[in-house]
Amino acid sequence: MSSFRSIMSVIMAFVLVLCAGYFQKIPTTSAWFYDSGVIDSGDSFVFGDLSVDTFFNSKSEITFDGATKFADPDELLFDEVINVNEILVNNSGTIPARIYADVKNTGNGKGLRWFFYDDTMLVDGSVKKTIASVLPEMTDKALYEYDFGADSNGGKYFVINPGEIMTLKIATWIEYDFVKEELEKGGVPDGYDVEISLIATQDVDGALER
Amino acid sequence: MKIKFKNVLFNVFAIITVLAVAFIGFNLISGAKGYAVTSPSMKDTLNVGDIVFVRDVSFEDLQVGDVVTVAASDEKSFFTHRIVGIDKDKKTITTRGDANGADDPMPTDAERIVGRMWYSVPLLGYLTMVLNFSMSHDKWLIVHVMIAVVLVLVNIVLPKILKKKKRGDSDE
Repeated sequence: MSSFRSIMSVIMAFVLVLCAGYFQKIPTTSAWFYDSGVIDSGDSFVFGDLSVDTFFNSKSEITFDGATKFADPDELLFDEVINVNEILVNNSGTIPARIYADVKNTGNGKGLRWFFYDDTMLVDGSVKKTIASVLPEMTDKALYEYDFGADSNGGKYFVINPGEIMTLKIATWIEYDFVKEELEKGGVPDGYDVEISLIATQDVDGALER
Repeated sequence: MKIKFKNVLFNVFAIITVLAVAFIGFNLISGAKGYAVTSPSMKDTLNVGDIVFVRDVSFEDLQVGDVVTVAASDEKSFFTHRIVGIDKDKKTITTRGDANGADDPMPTDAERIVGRMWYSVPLLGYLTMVLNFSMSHDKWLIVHVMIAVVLVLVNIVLPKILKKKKRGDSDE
């Protein structure tokens, strides 16, 4: 009886491993469409058909020439001190996609703000005038809602059709009020560690999960 | 009547094996293909961790409301959504996830339809996800062999060790 049990145990172990192999071979099925290759190197973001989360990610240290106030109508040097990152976006897939942006301050620098746009939005070639033209009011809250959406899960996006290539821009700057004390003490803000992400989703509401 | 540990272990092992073989055999014979659900777009009908089994279906037999599995353009990835429209002339279907706010953006050609949902098994998909988690097939071969060895050891050696220990305790 004992040897029968031993032989059967070995056979059953072998059979169970085959069964595990069957379950391992089962493919997965998902909600949306899938990556057919994402190349995100340097300053270009090329993606194919989408999964929910298709990311472009770029980390860099940005040095600003000075702080500024986007809401101050008397601040005339705004466009001079902002930093603008350009990212070439190419939809090589077969379905239209939305591109959202996210900018994170990964260092200790204070007062980092950002604005997502393309050249077709520019008013008189000025980023500040462009911001003023799209925000209902020049406040931090309005800027935040433009960037992230009212529920923090949306925000400004661009639709990129299959085969289309666009240059999207992200302006970043330092709000003076947040670094006022350091500046008054004579310290100039050092480089800011900034992480810029672009997120591609299907061209429908609710596809983005930040 | 005293129930022996090794008998219980052996019987559990045997029942699991028989059930697994019967389940897999049933699906192979019936031509059902399984897909592990990894996202909640068909929530309530299909939840994450389910395995959905589909069977071949002709385009003419499809109806609005059917849940179908469709291959993506690379034919290696799949999504499973409900049919919300059928274009008989163009031989395409429009699909939508029950939990999604909109139809899928592109109509799907009939030739990409893998099958119509037949039934689903809750939670079993986690087994697939765990087995596939970030490991190459070569490594999994080793893991499978290790699983087999562990199963054999547990079933043969463990009862002997326990028996020996019991004897030792009674000798003392």
